[in-house]
Amino acid sequence: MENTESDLQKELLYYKKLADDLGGTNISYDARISAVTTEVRKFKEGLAVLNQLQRSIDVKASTQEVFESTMNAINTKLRLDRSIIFLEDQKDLFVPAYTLGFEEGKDETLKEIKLNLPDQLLQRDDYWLINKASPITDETRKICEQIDIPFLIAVPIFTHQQRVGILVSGRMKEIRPFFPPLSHVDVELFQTIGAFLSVSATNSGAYNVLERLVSERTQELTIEKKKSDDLLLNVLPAEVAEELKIKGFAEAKYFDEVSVLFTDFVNFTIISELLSPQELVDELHYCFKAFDEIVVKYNIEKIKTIGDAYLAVAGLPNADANHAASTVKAALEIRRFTKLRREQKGDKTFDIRIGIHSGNVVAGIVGVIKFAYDIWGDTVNTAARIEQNSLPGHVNLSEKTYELVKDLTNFNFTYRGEIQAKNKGALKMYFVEEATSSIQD
Amino acid sequence: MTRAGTGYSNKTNSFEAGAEAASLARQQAGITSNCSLVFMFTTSRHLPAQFAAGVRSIINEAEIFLGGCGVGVITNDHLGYDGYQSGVALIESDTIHMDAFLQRNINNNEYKTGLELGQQINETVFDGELNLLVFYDAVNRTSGKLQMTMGTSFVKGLYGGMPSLPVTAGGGLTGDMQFSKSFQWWQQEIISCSAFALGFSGAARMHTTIMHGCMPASAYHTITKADNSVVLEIDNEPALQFVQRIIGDQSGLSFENFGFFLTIGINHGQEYEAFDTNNYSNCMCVNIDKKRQGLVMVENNLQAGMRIQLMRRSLDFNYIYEATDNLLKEIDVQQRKPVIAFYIDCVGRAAYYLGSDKEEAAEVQMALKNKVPLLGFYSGVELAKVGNSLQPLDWTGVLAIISE
Repeated sequence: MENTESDLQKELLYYKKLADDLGGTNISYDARISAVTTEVRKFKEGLAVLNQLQRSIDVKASTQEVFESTMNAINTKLRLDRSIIFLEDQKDLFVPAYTLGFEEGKDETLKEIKLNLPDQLLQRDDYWLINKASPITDETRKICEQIDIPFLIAVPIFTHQQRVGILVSGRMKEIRPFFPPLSHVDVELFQTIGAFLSVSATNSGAYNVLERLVSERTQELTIEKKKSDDLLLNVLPAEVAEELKIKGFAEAKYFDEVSVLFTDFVNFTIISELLSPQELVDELHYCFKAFDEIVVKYNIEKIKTIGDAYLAVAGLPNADANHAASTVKAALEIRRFTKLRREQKGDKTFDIRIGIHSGNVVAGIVGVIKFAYDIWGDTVNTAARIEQNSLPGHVNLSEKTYELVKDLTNFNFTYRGEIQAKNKGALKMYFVEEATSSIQD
Repeated sequence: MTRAGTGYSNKTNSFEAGAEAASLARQQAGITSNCSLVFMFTTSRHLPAQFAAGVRSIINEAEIFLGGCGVGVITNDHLGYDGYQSGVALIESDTIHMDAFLQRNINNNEYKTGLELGQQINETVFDGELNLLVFYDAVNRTSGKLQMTMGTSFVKGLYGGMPSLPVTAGGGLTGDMQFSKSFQWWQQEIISCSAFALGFSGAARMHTTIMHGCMPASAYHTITKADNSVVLEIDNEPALQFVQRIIGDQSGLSFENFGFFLTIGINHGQEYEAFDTNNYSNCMCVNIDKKRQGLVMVENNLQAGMRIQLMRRSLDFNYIYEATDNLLKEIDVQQRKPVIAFYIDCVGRAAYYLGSDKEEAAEVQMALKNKVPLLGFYSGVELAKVGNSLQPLDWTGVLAIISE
């Protein structure tokens, strides 16, 4: 049977209503889905904020960095308009230390606020929630007007059981569905944020203390290390000391071109009878101290003293093309010192004999107890013989050393001929003087 | 030669944000310190003077320096909203000519502002075909209370001043979802309640597509009474009552819950023909007039006698990628080269507000990736041609690509 116009009309109305009902259902479901999604997203963003906070509880992050990044996260991720972190200035009196979301110029006005925050924020788990449905007291209204946040959540920040600050965040408006009134669900999130901020502030304080202690201890260690290093350097050349520290031993090394200086106090025995033991030691110390300063000046390595003899060598541990000239200059300066000393002290000080020879040596450390840096080789023996064959108040050179310095214009040489040296045979020897000597012989 | 680039920043310090976004844009464009156009968007959290100073610390000289607020910003690799998002586009060209026009005081003065702006543009001689981007301050807080700027009246005025409106796209600017007072940059000034237009001519063409993903979800109904932006009656029934009846009296939902999801669509094509998304413009409801049981719409374009349908928003965003890709293909077929893309995206389409777990703007980013610099922003209202007529649109994404 064909549909009549009336049937068609009915059918049309039926489908029209069906379409409308479906449309209405769609809107309804869209609204519900959105509400659920928004709630889920709110928790998700809340977790993101807490995750960010947890990561920033890195002891190296400053309190300022943590507070500012937290406020940024609250304002953007949780879609709040304004945040303030108050810090306690005096007992129960708080001042804004960090702000975000305020207009230009408002920051400066806020900084002048001093607030007595309410008793609701005394304890760690306390909170303060103001939304449109909240009862408004005069105190509430005054605080909201002062900080210009009408709807807010506030939670305390603690370090070491002591309340040190307050976090306040809020909105300017409540607009459903996306900016609904702040609720107790938001409070729970903010209490957790407050707890993280407390931990961060505590850690930051603890880290600062730890850092200070470490710095103090490090400083003490550095001073002690320097003392022991200086002591070691007093005994060994720097390179050898370094090798000893690193390896635990120092290898003996061969040096091809060095100059060895020996000095000896000629009248030591006579002087030792004139002076008391202490006076003798003091005089020796005075003279050797001066010799030490002279050799350092000429980059010469002191090896040792043997009784009243003094041994030094130039050209090690680092090669020095001027080893011979340096040694000669040092020797002449040692002689000059000794001469001056005799002028001061008369018979109660030493006269000196100095000898220099150049050649090769082996240098190193032997022994493990009370070890010392020393040199070995024929050059050393020969240098000793040159010194022994010198005369009081003179600097005696071997032929080898003479050959190395003969062309230098600041020295005058006197050939002494070939002189018999014990176990060495006849050796050519030369006296050396400064070219423009002001010292009267 | 034309060089263009866009940059994004999420820095909270406005100066640093401006400098960062401008620096990235300059890097992408490959220009030095001067350019023809600087075009900027930030959310209302930023301090406009500091932001501009930051941009100027990177770009010394620009012939045109303008921009406004968005709820968020979209570039090729970043998008975000409700925070401190900002974006800068730079264009330097000796083949594309750019002109800027300003009309102030759009507040309570939409038609006249549109008219005078249209006249300004109409009186200008352009080199070649003109293509327009038009923006206006969607927020009117001059009285202290919020009033939305009526795009419908503004567009009517625009037509009054320029009857042959060329290819045009644009939007109503708002800096946040609470419709705080917003700002615009115009050369050295920072202003509010203004409308400005950017004209591209010379070698330029603008290609647009509108994307709303809405499908009709009800029968046709008729608006039987309206007063400005308030729809008072539908099918001779108080509008609010009509909507609540359709949603279901037992739903338990109040307007506060469902109002945002109420979209009214107008079919500019033939009723009862196969659905064509390009024929539809959508209008969103922002509030209710409880006393008169009316629906307060974003725009005042719904008038008595108009046939409407409730619309359903799609969460399947494939259409966005396809539409964007098709636009690029259209440009390619014409043997032209895309220079820069602008995406004016209704903030209601952002995932947070839509109730989606995906961002629809990501589809645009994907389709344009490595092909053309993109600067978009989240708007309060979108402007685009539906058929041959410029319309204020809601819940729509308008993509405009400049080519040469």
